Formats: sequence, structure tokens, C-alpha cells
Amino acid sequence: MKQTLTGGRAVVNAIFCLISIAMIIPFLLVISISLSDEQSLLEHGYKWFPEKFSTLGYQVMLRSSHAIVHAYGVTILVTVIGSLAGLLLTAMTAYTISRKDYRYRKPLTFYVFFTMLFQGGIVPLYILMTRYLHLRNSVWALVLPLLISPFYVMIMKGFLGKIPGEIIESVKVDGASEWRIFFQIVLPLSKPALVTVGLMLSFGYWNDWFNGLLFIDDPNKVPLQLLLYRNMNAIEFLKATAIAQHFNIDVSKLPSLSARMAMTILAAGPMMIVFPFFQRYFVGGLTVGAIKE
Amino acid sequence: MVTSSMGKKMWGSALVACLMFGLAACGNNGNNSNSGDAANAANADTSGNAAANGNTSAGATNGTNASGDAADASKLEPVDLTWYYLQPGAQSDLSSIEDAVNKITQAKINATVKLKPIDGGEYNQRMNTVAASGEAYDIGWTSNWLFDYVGNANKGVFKPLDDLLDKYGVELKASLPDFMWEQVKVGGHIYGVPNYQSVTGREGFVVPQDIIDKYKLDLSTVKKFEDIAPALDAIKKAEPKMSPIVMDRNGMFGYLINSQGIDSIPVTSQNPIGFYNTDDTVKLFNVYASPEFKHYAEVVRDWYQKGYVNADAPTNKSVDDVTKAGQGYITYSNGLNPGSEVSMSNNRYNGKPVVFAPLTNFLISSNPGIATVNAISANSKNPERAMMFLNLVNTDKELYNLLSFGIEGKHYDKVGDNTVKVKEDGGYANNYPWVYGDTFNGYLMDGQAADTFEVQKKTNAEATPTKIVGFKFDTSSLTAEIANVQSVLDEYMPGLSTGAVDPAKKLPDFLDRLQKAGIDKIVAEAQKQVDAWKASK
Repeated sequence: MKQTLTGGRAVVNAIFCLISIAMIIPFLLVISISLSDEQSLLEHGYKWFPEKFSTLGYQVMLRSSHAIVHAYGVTILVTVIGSLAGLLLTAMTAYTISRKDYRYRKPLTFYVFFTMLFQGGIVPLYILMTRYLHLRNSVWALVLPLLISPFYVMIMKGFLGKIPGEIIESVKVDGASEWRIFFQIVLPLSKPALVTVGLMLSFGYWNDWFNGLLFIDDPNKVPLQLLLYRNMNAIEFLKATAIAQHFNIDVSKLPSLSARMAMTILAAGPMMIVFPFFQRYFVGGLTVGAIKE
Repeated sequence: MVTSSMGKKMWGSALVACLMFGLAACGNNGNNSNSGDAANAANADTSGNAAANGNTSAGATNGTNASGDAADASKLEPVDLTWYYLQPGAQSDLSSIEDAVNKITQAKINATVKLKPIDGGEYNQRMNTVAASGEAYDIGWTSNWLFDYVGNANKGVFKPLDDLLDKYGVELKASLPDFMWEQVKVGGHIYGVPNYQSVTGREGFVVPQDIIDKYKLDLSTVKKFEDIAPALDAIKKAEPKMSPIVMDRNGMFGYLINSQGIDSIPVTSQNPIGFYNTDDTVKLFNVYASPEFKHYAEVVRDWYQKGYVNADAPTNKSVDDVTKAGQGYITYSNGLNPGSEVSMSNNRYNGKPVVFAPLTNFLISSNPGIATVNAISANSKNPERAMMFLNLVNTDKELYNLLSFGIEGKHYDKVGDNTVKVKEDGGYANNYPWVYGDTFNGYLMDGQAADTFEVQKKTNAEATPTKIVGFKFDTSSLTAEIANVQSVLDEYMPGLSTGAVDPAKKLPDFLDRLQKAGIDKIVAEAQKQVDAWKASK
């Protein structure tokens, strides 16, 4: 379906082109810095094309490659388990509270909604995870806290609520069990919503470093983003702390600028490749509700 | 239509909820520090400790060398200790350090230690959470600049160590000079073991050797900060493109404050209150309203206009980047200590030799002793053994060097009698020896003079302490004023302190805004506390 380029459309396109450029340009700059020679960076500042080409940044990062490989493993594992389990649980919860014939629909919806407004905070979370669930240094500490987000449940519920009750009714009349209705009728019907929520969940897991910061000490279980966060922060922390002078800390030995940018590329890379594959569904998921209006 | 408007409502409320969610999360962060009290109240019950006391009475009766004697170890129950401390980045070979540490500690105090290093950027958040949750860890590293020692001691996060030190830390107590123990006292009690190191500061300029040779500079005439001007002028004339002196956005005033006769009390990033360092009555005042600051601002204004100062100074975050790129020469510091030439030259001048031009004697500020401290948690199940361990770390050179530098041949090479070169790729290169214990027990880094520690100890003993050495300012009633003053400082200081703006125009504005932000209240409260502190001496 081809569309003619009218004036209004051209303006819209131009605006989105500008937004896209505004997002791509900093990223290109990061790539350029990661491939620049450290000394030339200090002398000439950031350039769109490396003044003096050098892969030292990547070499430095890959020298500690086993840390990165481990971090990748942890993050991928957590993302896969977390997204799949989270998606299933989110869909189940949302489906339950979306069924109009469910008696406790309203109180349960409010219960889910309530946690969006009020939550325990970090300290109770920390106490629960370390003292009662004993999940310190466990991969589960990275999975469980993000498993169900009330926000995604609400999105899912909004979508599932639009599936006509008559379909479910009719399948019931045909003798399908509740499990069968859910897995064979409801889930296939809500594929766009599942992909949308699944993608958001997996981004959440991929980008999470805070749970790692709180619960992970074991260097072999550090997720990728926490590794990145540490690399980026180490220098800033010392430079911001005037006291570093007192302690004779040799800042020159900390990861260089190009190495930190190389780490950024290494950490961001896969998601950028994965995203376009899902994008089709993602757009579909966002617009399905609108089309039905 | 009905369903669609329902849908819209849902999305709308979800959005609102999302915002609220964010706010709630922020609020919780802010409250973290308070929730500590509740956790500690629960720990006031010390029956567990009493029982533990009974168990280790064998150690107690031995008194003087409870930890040093291997025969003791067999009489002690085996315990596990956990130790949270600061470490830069992950060290891949930490486990082999832990194994080697445990070999020593098992033999000497029949305890194993679980090392739990935390990165600098995460330390505050993580340790505040750990403390507030009431977790039963044993030893935690703390300081006056990260995971606040005084505040947490006041809140009861740490165990008072006075009795434990007398029983299980006799060697440790004797190994440090008395003034160090005075430094860690909060409300009359010792809450932590200070890691002894060079505690002095000295203000002055850092000048690269090649510039001195090239322009035949005579640094012996530099007695006040403005005396460096002729040197700046000479450099500027010969090399008009270079910045003879490099400043960051904080300017020089705070770093060279003592050389201008003022001693300051740490409150904000640029300390706003102080007193004349010859004044025995310790009369506090707003340092930015002083004639000294006015004079300083006028001098650097003149410098800035003549091009002596790097033009980007008011936005520059670090002098290192400018000097390393070879765009400027002279810098300044308040940490011109013996032995720091090496790190200064590496950090700022790519390893080129530097000369210090000090403007003051060696100084001891109010609280250098709490810059790095190891404290025992109030929730520790084995405080006696933790004390024995701290005693061991501070007196056993083998253990201390193992923690600081790793295993010989694997993580470092010996290049002299007592000098080591750390292998950058060895899997354990942490560079923070001052986190673990008495740094004078350690090896020297390659490039430091063999007598560095003797000289540092001597300067520690001979340095001029401030008139309020040991005073700790409790700022808990002033949080709003301090935040306001800080934001005024952030707004005006980059311009005024680097000379980028004209003090004749901006200084009156600045002082007026400070007044409105409540600086007088801070001065009054600090004066009250200082007077009370003096009276108690």
C-alpha cells in the first residue's frame, strides 16, 4: 500500500527523521570514541571520525574477557527465564482479573493497582530477599524482583478485556476446561500484547543493574549492565572525590575513556540487533487497541 | 464506545500510577537513613553477645596476646566473619586472596573471613541498605566521605569498641598514636579502628620540572598564592597559547585556604565557614564574606583576564585532563605529602617529574583520622573475633600485604627490599591499601622512596594540627540550610573562584544569596557546637 507524500505527512516525516538523528548521532559518537586513540582524545576532544584509529579500548575490555563473557551469560539467562516466566505470570494474572464473571475481580484489580502507588521500598526488599528468601548471590535475586510489574498487568488486562466474553462462553459450552481456554484460545488471540509486554519485560531484565548492585557479590554472577555501570562510575567517583588526592590514588590506571565507550558498545550491541526482529509485533501490539475503536 | 473509553481511562490511570510509582521510590530512598534507627532499636538486645563472651573467655584471660598465640586458636570455636569494604572494580582473582587470608586467620584466630568488596560508586547505597536492614555482618569499612562514620556511629550502626579493644586488641591499641584514637571517638566512645596513614595535608603548587628548567623559575620566593604570578607571566609571554595555571570549576580558594590564614570546617563541597588559624577563641565566620576571599577573587580575576587561567575553568571538572593533554602547566593541591610526587605526576603529568612549591607547613585538619576506618557492626554475632581479626590485620604484615597487594609472583613482583610492582593483569590490582589497615605495615609502591613511611610518620608527628582537631560537626539539624548554601555555591563559585566573572559585580550578589540561604544559621550552630566541644576538653 503506497501512500502519497502530502505536505502534512512530509512535516511529520521530517520531525521523526530529526528525532531519529538525535538518537543515532550520540551513538555514532560513542562508536567513534571507542575506536580512538586515548591521547588524541585528550588533545583534540571527541571527533566524528577517530583522529587516530586504535582498538586498544576493545583490547583492554576483552583482556578481562571472562568477566564480560560471564556477565553476558548471566544477563542472557536472566532475561530469557525472567521474560518467559514473567510473561506467563503477567498474562495469567491479567486474564483472571479481566474475566467479567470473576467475583473478586474488583478487589483483586485494586490489589494489583495499589502496588503501583505504594511499595515497601528498598530496605524491606533487601530484608525480604536476604534474610527470609536467602537469595543473596543467587541468580533468582535478579529474576524475582522484576517478574511481575503491576503496570504490565494493567496493560495486559486492558487488552484481554477486549476479547469478547462470548467467545469464552461458547468454548465453555463446547466443554473446554479453564486451562484449555487460557492456553488455546486466549493466549493465541493476545499475541500482539504478549510480544509487547514480553519485549518490555526483556528490556527491563537486560537493562537492570540495581538488583545486581544490591544482591550480588560473586563476580561470576554480575549482570552485564552492572559491569558497565561500574566501569563508567569508577573514574567519576574518584575524580568527584577530592579526598582521592589525600590517598595518593593513581587515577591513571583506571579504564580509559575509549575503553569505557568500548564497554558501552559491547553492552548495548545485542539488544540493538534483537530489537528490529520484534519491532513488527511491537508496533502491531501498540496499535491493535486503536484499530478496534 | 463504552469499552474504548474504559480502555483510555485505564491507560490514563496507569500513566498516573507510573508517575506516582516513581515518586514513591524516591521518597523511600530519602528515608533510608531514618529506618536505620528502627533496625538498631531491635538490636539493642545484646544477650547474644553475652553468650558469645562466655565462649571466648579462654581468649580473654590470655589478655595481652590473645590473637598472636597460635595455641589459642584451638580453644576458640571456629567462626565465619564477613567484611564489607571498598574496592575499585571487580578483582577476578579475589577468591585466591580469600583462601590465603583464611589460611592465616584459621591458624591464628580460628576464623574464616568472607571478603565482600563493593565498588566506590555503589558503596553508600549498598551499605546504607545493609545497615538499615539490620543484616548480621561483622566488619564494615566507613569514613567521613563515604558511608558516613560519625552519623552512623550516632545512629548505633556500629558497636562501641572500647572494651573489645582493651581485651582483644591490645597490640593494635598500642600500635597507633593516641591522637588517632582521639580522632575516632564519637560521644566519648571509639566506634572504629582507624587505618593509620599519612594524615597530613599541605597546600601549594605542583610545577612540572621541565617548566622550572625552561624558565629558570625560583619557587623559593613563593610564599603566598599570588607570588606565583611572575612565573605565570613568564610562561604566558613565551607560550601565549598555553594556560600557565590550570584550574577546575572549584578554583583554588578552597584548596589553598589555610595559606590565606583561614581554617575551615567541612560542611559542603566548598567549605563555607571557618576561623582565622591564629585565633584561639575559634570565632567562626562566613569565609566568603572575609577580606581574604575578596582579595583572592580580585587576584584570580586579574589572572583570568590576562589569560593565565585556562578559559574553560568554570566548566572544567578535572585539572588532570588539561595537563595530561599538554595544554597547561602549573596546578595546585592541598595534599602535598611526602611520597605523593609519584602519584601526582602519574595522575596529572603523564609521569613527568614534578616539584612541589608548598605554601604552608604540614597541617592536620579536624578529622583526618576518620578518612578510612573499619568498624564492627552492632549486629555482629562475633564481635570478639572481629576485633581479633582487626587486631591481626593491623599488626600482621603478611596478612596486610596479602590483602593490599595479593600473592607474590602472581599479583606483584618484588623490585626492592620492601618495594613492589603490582601486575596490572594479575587479577588483583586494587590500589587501595588504605582500606585494610595500618598502611605503614605495607610494602612501598614502585617509585616511592625507601624512607617514605619514616618521613610520613615523622610529618604526622610534627605537623601543626588545627585548633579544632577532633571536633566533629553534627549537621543533622541543618540539612535544609546546607542544601541551600550548596546550591548557591554551585551557582557562583565556578565563576568567582576561577576569575571568570568580575567580583565587583557578582560578589555582593553572591553574599546576599548566601545570607538568604541561611549561612548565618550554619555559622551560629557550628559556633555553639565548637564552644560546647571546647568546654568539654
